[in-house]
Amino acid sequence: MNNLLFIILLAGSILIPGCSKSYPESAKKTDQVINIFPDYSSATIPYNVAPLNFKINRKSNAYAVKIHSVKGNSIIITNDTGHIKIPDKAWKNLLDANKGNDLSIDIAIQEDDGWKSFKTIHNTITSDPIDSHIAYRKILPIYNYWSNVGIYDRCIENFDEDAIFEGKRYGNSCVNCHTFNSNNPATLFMGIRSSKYGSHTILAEDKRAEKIGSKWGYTSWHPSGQLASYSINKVRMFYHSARKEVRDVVDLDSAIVYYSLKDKKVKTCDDLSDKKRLETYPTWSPDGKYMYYCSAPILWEDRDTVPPVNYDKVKYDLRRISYDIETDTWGKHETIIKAEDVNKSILLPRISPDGKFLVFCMCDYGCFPIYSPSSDLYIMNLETKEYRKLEINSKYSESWHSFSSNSRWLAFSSKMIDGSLTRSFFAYIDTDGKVHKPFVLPQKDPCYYESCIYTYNVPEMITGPIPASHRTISAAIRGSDQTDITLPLTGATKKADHTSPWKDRE
Amino acid sequence: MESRRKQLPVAIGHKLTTLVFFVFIFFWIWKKVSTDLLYHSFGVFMNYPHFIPEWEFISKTAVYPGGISQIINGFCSQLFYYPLIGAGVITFISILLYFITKSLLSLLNKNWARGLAYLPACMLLMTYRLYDHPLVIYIAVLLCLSLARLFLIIPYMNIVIHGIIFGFFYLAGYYAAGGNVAIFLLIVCIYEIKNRETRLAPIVLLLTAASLQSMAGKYLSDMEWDTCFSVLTVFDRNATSSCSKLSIYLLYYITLLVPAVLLLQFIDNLIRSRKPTKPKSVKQPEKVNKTYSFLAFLLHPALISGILFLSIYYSQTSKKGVFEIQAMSRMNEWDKLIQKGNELRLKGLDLVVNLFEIDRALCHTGQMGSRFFAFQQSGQLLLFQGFETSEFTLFDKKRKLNYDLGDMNAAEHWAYETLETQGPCPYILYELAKIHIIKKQPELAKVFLVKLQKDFIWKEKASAFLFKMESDPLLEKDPEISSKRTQMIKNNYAIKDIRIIEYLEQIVKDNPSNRMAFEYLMSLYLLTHKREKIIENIGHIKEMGYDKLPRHYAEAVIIHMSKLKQPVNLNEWQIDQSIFQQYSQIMNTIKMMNMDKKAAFSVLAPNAGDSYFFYSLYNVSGLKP
Repeated sequence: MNNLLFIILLAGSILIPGCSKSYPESAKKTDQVINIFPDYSSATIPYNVAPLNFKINRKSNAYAVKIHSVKGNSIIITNDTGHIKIPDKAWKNLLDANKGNDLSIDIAIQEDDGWKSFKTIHNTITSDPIDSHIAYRKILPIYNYWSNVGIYDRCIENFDEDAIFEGKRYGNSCVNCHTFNSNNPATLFMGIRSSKYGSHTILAEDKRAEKIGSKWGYTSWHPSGQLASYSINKVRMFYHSARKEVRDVVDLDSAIVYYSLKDKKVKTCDDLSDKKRLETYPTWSPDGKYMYYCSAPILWEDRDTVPPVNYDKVKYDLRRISYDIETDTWGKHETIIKAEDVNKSILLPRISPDGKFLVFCMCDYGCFPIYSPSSDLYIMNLETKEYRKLEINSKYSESWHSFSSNSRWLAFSSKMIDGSLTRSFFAYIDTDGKVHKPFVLPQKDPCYYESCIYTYNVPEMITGPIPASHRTISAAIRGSDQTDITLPLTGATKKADHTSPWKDRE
Repeated sequence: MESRRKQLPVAIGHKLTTLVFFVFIFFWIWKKVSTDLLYHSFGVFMNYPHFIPEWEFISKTAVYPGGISQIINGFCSQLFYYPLIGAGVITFISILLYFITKSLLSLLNKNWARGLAYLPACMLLMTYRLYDHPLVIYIAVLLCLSLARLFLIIPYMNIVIHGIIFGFFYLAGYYAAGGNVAIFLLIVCIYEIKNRETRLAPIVLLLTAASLQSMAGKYLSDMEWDTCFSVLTVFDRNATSSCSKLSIYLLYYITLLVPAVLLLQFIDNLIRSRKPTKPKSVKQPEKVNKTYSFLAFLLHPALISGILFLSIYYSQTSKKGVFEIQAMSRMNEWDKLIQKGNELRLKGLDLVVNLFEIDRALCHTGQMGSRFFAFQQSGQLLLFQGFETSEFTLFDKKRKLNYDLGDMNAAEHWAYETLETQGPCPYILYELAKIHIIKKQPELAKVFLVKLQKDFIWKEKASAFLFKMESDPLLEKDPEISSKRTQMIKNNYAIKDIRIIEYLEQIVKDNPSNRMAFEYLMSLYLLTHKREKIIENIGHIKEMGYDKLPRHYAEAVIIHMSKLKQPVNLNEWQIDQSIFQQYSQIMNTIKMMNMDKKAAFSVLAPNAGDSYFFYSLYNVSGLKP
């Protein structure tokens, strides 16, 4: 009997590690600020986010953390590592009960003369939920060669990650430009370049997937779901000899076309395929009446030399063009922001689903903000056309942003943590367009980002997991069935060489 | 009882032979192969076998067919860093292969089969003498043979239960050893056909195997059809990449050995059973057994010695030399490297692949201007002009070269290309940390160092680096880091395709104290016969810390003067009289041979084959014995 009791007690102590924990309330209080990593302080967080696990950046023999709010039970974690893994259920209960309240984190550490506590860390819990999932490209910091490029969907409410596509399973294929229609996971376009299966675009609608026989560039769905605009680019990489960011990219020639899902035909209009200009980054307004895009004059005659002359003088205007889906007719383009006026290149426009805000990047020159440390995010009120630089920018590159389906959350890529490895961040945007301090995508391992050599790119928020299975997508990629399309223009993009994956990036 | 007593010395003899055999293998691999040479060549000459002690790595690898073998291989490969432990690992695997093969062949009840059990171990030894590293396939074969042996122990109940157990074993084998699970299938099927009355069992097993493998490979792991069956086998190019042909033949052999022997024996039995039985001869069986045992006693050591001899005979000295040079370069043992390069040159093994490291060593030891032509130089090889850039084995070399030249951005570029194509090889993680700290990106450097701390070989080095960064975040006090920082290219240019001479000239122009770039540039001038450029730069040589004019530059000056027939401003440099004398000797020799350069070649090579004089005449170098 005694043995049985002992076993029960032992099992209990192993299975319920938190039951004997207590926070040292009598700890000596100081005004010092303690650093935690990732920086989950003064941020605004959604109530449905996964636990924000973190590491305490201070050496000690013992740590105690109390996470609490106005209502519900506090979460107390004590350990000797300073790696704080918050229990899922307790975290969810606490956040659910405290929508709109502050989330406080008290931290105490044991020093030679006893426990010492620091300034409480505050975060705000909003009642506006974030979309449950995010799709991103997770890759090593690649240059010209790739062997392991993957697109994954990750649940933001927990830590589950599923592979949508992993290039190594398809003969080291490359994948990019994953796009969804209005945050709907059942509407995925994804560009694939493979030595074995060729270059094409995969359209995954609901649980089926089909292959379109041409690789698209930057893509945007028309909200009706009847067509998608995409750019055709002749993008080439080159390098800098003394800049912190080695890589740079130039678009030698580009145009925008659109694909009708009904007719399976590609069309364009003169304004979108001007031979003297570069047109790229199409994005539709939520009402489908306007397509916003970026356009710059071509400053070189030779469209093959890399880098071309004046590559660092190319600056893109922000434009929009009206479109009538009923009659399939385009209006005349209008310039929203002239690059000349701001002396910057305006890129990657994205509009909030409620149609109120337009967020875009501005950098010193060129077409590729992620390689430009000067790239910052700006927000424009589409009613007043006023715009301003967001407070959340760092001295490094911020880019590749997307809105949540309720327009309250902005996901974006930033190199703010270490200056080079891109991470996915989320920032809350209130109805007035005020953007709150962002937080990085939480990970199960509190120390994950300390040693993560992968970059998280193109975060696209979606309302659920992608319904098309990995098998369905792979069958489409490997299958011989494809929709062949003919481009309505010539010369904008050189066809990819299918004989080797080791080619210049396009 | 009597016969057992008589067989005892034979059994002891066998055990002794086995013991000696494996002790020999261990010592041979430890002392002669040196697994650390393989470790240092990972990521350069062969794919780097990963092992990251992180749950994410283990869980993601284990769910892929053959993943268990990959994990074991990854772990074992890290141990190669220590030659003693590496030898222990290879010997241990060869012992396991021996016992499992012996155990399976004992099913035949044939004494002769026992000797074959030594063969896998010999094959493994031969593979490592060839400096190939397909350990993952050996591990996979070992796992399959073990599973087969285990399965055959399980008593047969009925076909359904048997099928279920088989299915479980087969799936386990597939995830453990990939397509090699076919070995397990073949052994079990042959055994079933031989031992069961029903012929249904093998058919059921075959169908079960095919459907399970398709389901697991194609549908669960989303593999292509051919990969489903070939993953991690000898047909898998990823698993056998950089292996020599002989190693691949050995892999075929090791894969097929047990099933083939079982099958041959089965066919033999089948033929015999159908032949009319002859009346047995009246020889005394006792005597036959005795003779056989005695022969076997002699035959085994002889056979094993023969195989061992062959294994050792088929060694790749040139490959070993390449690996030794690579290892010395990793350790910055420049003097040893030059000495080794010279040894290999004298043996006629001066492979072009070594030249790059030898030139680096000459540059690091300040001998580029005086011993450059002691090796067979080539304008194309220096700085890899005209090489196919997609050759992944060059990526790390390009990284090293650019690092030496102070072009940190190019070094970073090639380090990341290596990282992408080779995975998180610890060397590359460490080099990336160094490059980023030189570029004053300490936060980024820390990411690579923290990652490196998870590698049990590199943990200490990474921790020491991080510890230094605590008090000196930019490592301003570190001599290597601060010296590299001063050499870094300061002016920014946009680069796509580099024209090498202009590139070096630009580096030297930007930073005239960059000695390595200067020496490479001067060597390139010598190789391309641009002697006027040597004269132009003669004034800078003093700034580089030379106390006398390096021999090859002096040789270039003499040729230049003799062509122009006028003196050259030597900026206070004196040319050693011995160099003038050598020039006169060469000229006299050629004159004696009626200016027939071709005829003078063999006369000049022994004494002047390492001089620029000789190179300028014949465009070849490194001929002095």
